[in-house]
Amino acid sequence: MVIRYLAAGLSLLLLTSSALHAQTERRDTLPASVITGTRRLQFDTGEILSTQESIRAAASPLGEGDPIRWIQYLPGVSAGADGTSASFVRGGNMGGNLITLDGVPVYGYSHVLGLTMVIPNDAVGSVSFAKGGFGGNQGNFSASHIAVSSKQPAEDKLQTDLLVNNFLAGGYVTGPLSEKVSYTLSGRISPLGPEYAALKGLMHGQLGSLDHFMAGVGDFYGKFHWKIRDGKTLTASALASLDRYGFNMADGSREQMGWDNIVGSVRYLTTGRKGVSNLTLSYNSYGGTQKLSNEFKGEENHFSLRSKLDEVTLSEDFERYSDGAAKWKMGARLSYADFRPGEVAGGVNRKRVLMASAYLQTLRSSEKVRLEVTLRPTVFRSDTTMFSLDINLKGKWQFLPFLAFEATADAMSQYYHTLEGLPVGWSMDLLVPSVSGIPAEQMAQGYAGLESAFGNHLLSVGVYAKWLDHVIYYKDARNLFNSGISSWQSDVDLGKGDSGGVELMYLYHGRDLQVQASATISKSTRKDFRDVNGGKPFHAPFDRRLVGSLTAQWKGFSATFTWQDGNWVNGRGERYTVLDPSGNEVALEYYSSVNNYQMPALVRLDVGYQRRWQRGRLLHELNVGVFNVLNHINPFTIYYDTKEETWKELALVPILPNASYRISF
Amino acid sequence: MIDSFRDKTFLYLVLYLQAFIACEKVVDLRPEGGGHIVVECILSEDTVQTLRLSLTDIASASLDDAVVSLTDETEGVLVGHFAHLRGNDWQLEYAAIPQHGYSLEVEINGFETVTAHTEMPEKLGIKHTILWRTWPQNLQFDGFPDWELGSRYEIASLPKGPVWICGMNYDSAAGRHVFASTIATSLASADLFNLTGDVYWNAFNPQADKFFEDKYEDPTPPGSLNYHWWYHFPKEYRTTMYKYVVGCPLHDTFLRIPSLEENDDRTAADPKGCFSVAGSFRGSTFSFSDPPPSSQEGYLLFVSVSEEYDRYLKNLLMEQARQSSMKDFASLFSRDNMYGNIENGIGLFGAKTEQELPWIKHNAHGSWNIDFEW
Repeated sequence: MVIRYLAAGLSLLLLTSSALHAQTERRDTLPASVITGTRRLQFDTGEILSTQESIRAAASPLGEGDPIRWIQYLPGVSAGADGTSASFVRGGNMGGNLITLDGVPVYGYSHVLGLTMVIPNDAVGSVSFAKGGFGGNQGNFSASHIAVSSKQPAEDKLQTDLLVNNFLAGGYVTGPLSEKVSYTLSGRISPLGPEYAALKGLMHGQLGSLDHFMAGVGDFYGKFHWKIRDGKTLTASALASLDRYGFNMADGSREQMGWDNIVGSVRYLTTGRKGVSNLTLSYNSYGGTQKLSNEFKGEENHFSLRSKLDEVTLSEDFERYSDGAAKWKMGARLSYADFRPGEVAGGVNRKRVLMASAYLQTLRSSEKVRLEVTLRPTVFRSDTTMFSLDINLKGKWQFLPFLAFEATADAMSQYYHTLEGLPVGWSMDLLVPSVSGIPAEQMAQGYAGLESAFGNHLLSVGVYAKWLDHVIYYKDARNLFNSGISSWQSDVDLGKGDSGGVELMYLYHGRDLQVQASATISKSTRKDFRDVNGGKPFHAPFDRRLVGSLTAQWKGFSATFTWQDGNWVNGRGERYTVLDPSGNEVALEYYSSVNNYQMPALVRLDVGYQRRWQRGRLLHELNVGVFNVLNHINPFTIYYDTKEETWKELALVPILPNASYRISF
Repeated sequence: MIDSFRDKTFLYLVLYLQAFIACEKVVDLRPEGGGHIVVECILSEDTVQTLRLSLTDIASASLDDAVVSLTDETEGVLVGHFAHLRGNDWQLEYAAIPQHGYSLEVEINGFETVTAHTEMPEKLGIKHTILWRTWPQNLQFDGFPDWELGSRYEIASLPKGPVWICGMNYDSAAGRHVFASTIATSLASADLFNLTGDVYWNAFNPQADKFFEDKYEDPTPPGSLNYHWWYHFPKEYRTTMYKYVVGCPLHDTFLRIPSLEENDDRTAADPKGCFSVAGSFRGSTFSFSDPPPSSQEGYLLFVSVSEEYDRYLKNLLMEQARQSSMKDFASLFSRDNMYGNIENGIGLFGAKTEQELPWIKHNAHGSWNIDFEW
């Protein structure tokens, strides 16, 4: 019920947004060392590197695309609910994805239930998405690494961007403070709250009983760059984000939810004769709150969940210059984290952990062969000590001028778990550490494929297989809402998972026409949970058999078609009756499996148009479009209506006109 | 700035359109799969065995052509095939034998063969000891044995498995016996899973008090020859029904006595190896006149059950209680299945033996003429 009204409120207040855009002019906004061709995407084995322009081009219901939205159109990625930022890579869990900003993890990366991202696009320099053959400077994940690199502040002149779309308004300024110091500042806020207040009287009735809607959404980013002297720079950056929502219902029930991030880092970079050294100290704080009060069959129910994670990390990375045949990277990280998951009525299940890791990465390349190996030992200390060794391999053999064979192999350990097995429709990013009896999640995967580049075409096809062990499943979701969360360790079960599939990608980059097509056929299961589903295999939540997208851009016009088979949720049981000793019928349900109901397929066509023009010093950019032109009802979630006592399916974004406007000077 | 009326109208229309963007609809959440066969069969020593055969709601098949067979695994012989009676009901003329193992097999087109196994429990050996009453004046003598009105049961032997006890009252409207709603016992080993929250008090059996209340109104004045002074004893010295059960928790309909594996002390806690059972039972009055026909007397039913039936019955009763009072929002997300022992199906194949004993039989042993050992 409350999700419906929140969705209605959000959609009401959407004024315009950009869907897709195509460049009518080409601007090289990236350092030359990144762009090696005219394509926006740069491919490495197991990794795709993109520019800010490509990121913003990704179709999005509320505004410009973001890094998370961008990866959802790539092979091997199964999106979560329509319109959200949830992503499941090669059958992994959502918590298996690591999102970093300049190497610092961002745990609460979504804005507005996942419709956009906390990292402002203006601050994004480039994004790399790795599904395999992971580099050595990051560990503690099991699915993918989305590495966002921020732009360097402008050193020559002041540059300002102002943006307004249907959901966010913000500004971005970058420029020099002095000959040696430059800065970047960015801020965004959402006018949801004031817009709702202004429209409430007009939309009374259509908004139902939604009352006292409160929304506080915003983010701030700042970066200072100091060139101390030749070869030595000091960079300090900070990101803060806030999402808060609350609303009262006519029956007196109330819901509040919110999350926040504070991410800060100081980096000292030295470039010497032998290589480049990067010493970084970072702080990361993530907090989440969810409260729900409702009335069900005359009884009041109150649920409250609050969690917090604070992390401090010191890391050193050294990259030795190539001697022609080989390149070396090495480094170490030391992290201290304080977990307070699910504080309920003052009860705290606090865990402090220490994690130390080192890595050695070597890259050897010749004219036709490229091979990279990374070893990463890790020691993790919570209430017990754990040790693991990550191994990453990737190779490429260009055996023909237009055809290459590439492969990756990975064995990784993840010490931070995200509790799953949640009530349907209830989203919760509850991070917990590995403890005794609950070891690190382990992943092993392999990929092999062919890549062909000829003219303006690029075609890639490959197969992958993944195995997971020590996957966590929260057995009794009811305990999430009472003091039982303080002993979450006794309510989780450990099991395994596996996934396998075929990935296909095609790119064409002509002068006026660009086409990108991707498809994934895969199967992902979970199994061997002693207390879940009787140990039998069951569908992974986002086990979408077929996922595909086709994007075309031509002279400012763009269109994206997306098809994703339905995801799996906990449906009802098979209904039957038995007789009690008195001979009365008793109605029962039999649950044959976890995730036994498949949601309808996600089908969507988005179209857009972009126009840029310059008047004097001002560069204008207008994007207009329609998200979900076919008006297909793509389910966002299912929830239980306590008034009508029935389950309902909620679709968040049917046909949605959108526009965004940006000026730069 | 939007100034014109036309611009404002257009804005409102856009906003109005978007008011309906979030769509919702009722959804069935129908699970994947072809469904399951549901089998319910409890073997007993009765001469006719009954079985109930049905399907879950997503299954589709004809059950009329099902082949349902029962095999005595101890003897190694096929006992027979259940015959379709009507609807979901099937029956087989056969009396199951205690301590024999049985297997059930159900074959239906389009489904895997359903099988199940159980073992008939051993018979109970509970001896009904006394119903006796004495005169209250005897209370004044020290050393006089405790007494009570009602039934006490001596355990001659109990099976190793669990035992269920319930009271049966005659319902004249229904023309048959029905379960008494509450039951209590002095046995400390009784499973506490189905407590009502109340305790047993002799007010549940007001007949005893009424007997003496009637006599208390005796108008014979003190000192007269016919003054029956014993009727004027304080209430606390009057006859008490089931004094060992007074204050014990009341259970909803059934008592479950756990198996020996579950509780080593289950036959203890009552003096001298006996235990008392009381509850909302209706027995004959304490009056010597107009006794009811014996067929309408209430009685206690002692049931020895197979392990599967024990687990299933407890599970089912707890689920019934949960459904009747379901106000917990979080319980909507419970996905626990009812226990069952049917392979490739759902339901239960269990077994039981029964023993009926009187609860309060009119005009049983009187005075202190006892026929049991202290």
